[in-house]
Amino acid sequence: MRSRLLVILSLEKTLIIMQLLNSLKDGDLKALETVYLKYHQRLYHLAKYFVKDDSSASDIVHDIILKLYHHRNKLSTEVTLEAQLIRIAKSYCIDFVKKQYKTILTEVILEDREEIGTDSDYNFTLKKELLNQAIEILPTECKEIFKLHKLEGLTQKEIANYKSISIKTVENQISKAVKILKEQLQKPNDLHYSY
Amino acid sequence: MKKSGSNKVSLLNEEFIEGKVEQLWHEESGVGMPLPLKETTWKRIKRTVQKNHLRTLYRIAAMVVAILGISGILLFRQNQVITTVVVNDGITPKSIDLRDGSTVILNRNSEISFTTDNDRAVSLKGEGYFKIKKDSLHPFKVLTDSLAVMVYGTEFNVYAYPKDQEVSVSLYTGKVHILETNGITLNMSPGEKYSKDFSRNQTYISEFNKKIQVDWMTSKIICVEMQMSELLKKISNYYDVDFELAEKSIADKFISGTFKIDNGIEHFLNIISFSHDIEYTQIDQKTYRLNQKEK
Repeated sequence: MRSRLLVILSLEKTLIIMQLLNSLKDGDLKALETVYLKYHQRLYHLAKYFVKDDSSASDIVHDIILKLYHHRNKLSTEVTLEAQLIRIAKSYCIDFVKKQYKTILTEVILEDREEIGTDSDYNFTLKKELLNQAIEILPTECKEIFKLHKLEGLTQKEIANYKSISIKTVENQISKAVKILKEQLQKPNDLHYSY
Repeated sequence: MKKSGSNKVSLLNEEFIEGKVEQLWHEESGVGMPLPLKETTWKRIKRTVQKNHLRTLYRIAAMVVAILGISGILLFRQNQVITTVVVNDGITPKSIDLRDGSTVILNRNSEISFTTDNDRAVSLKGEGYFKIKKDSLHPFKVLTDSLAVMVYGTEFNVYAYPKDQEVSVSLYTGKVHILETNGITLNMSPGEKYSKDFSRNQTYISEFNKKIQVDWMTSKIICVEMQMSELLKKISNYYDVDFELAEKSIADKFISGTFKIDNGIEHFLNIISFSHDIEYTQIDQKTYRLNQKEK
């Protein structure tokens, strides 16, 4: 008896969720709001891992919910809405990280001499981590000089003195680094550099 | 030398990100979303959705008219147009990937919009740096209120804040064509900057400093002997504020230095008030008044 009741109850719950999914597929804004209210905390928590400030976090939540809305015609009624939202969030986050990686490469190339790595304004460790990953691909010598220059903020002359090498060498290494990073940037979608 | 990359691939690895998302999703969230943010975010979502609906409605209406005149074939193809509006009202530049593989880095207080029926066109209000994917068959168009930029694959910066009397396009690589609203077209070569001053209705082509033009992308304004009026214009666009000058002479001062945009407007005002003996008062939320300090 009790178990039957539970079955009915869970059936009812499933029905409500099915209804929600169906109205969402019809483009019902109310349904979208219900989804938002139900999952905004999770989305926010997720966003906060990738960005530090609230305004960017809000952007991410906004984008994911909209992505769900734009994909509403492709939503399946066989799978739970939550699972499909997670899938959308995953592909969004992958794009997001790739984009951040490209941004950081652009920044590091454009900057002349800047303490990007220590800049506390930046979106916390994600960006810093991506920057480190970008620098990791450089050859050892090149990497060391590039780090001193971009992360520690040493001038080319200071680096030359510190390492007892000529300024010309420092210059060469830095332009070599910029060249390698530029190549990375131009690679369309392949961001795996583990070769 | 081959490097063993066991732990350093992590962040760019798709599986890692997917796993992270999964983990975060099921994690107990420590800090909840602040209530005002929850509300504004929803309002933004609603606005974007409604904008799209409106657009779809316009489309449908236009189609109905078209049906009467011509044929109905187009109807089913085009009534699903979605407009995406990306507004950057934050304090850092925002990078946007377009569907054709091009990238736009959008400055503060700027917006772009594009539709699903044309991958190769965007409308811009404000400033953006464009990296356009090559496609010799389909030119990419950037539309502003006063001109259109047509390109095949290149990198360039467009400056077109609505309240500014000046529009400029700075070309980094490749080739672009400029179409002015009066029908005049111009070709540009890399390293050239096209600017149009609407207050004088004059067009200039000049060379530009590649780094300074896009200083905004790195959250900085670099000034080399820049006229104060010029700098104030940039600042007022980036922070969406206005300046009132008590003395005209302030506009003619020159300034050199680097400002960090992220540090906020007060920081900027403090520096110039110190270096150029200027006092500032905030009149209302969006207006500052500058006057010369009395000696």
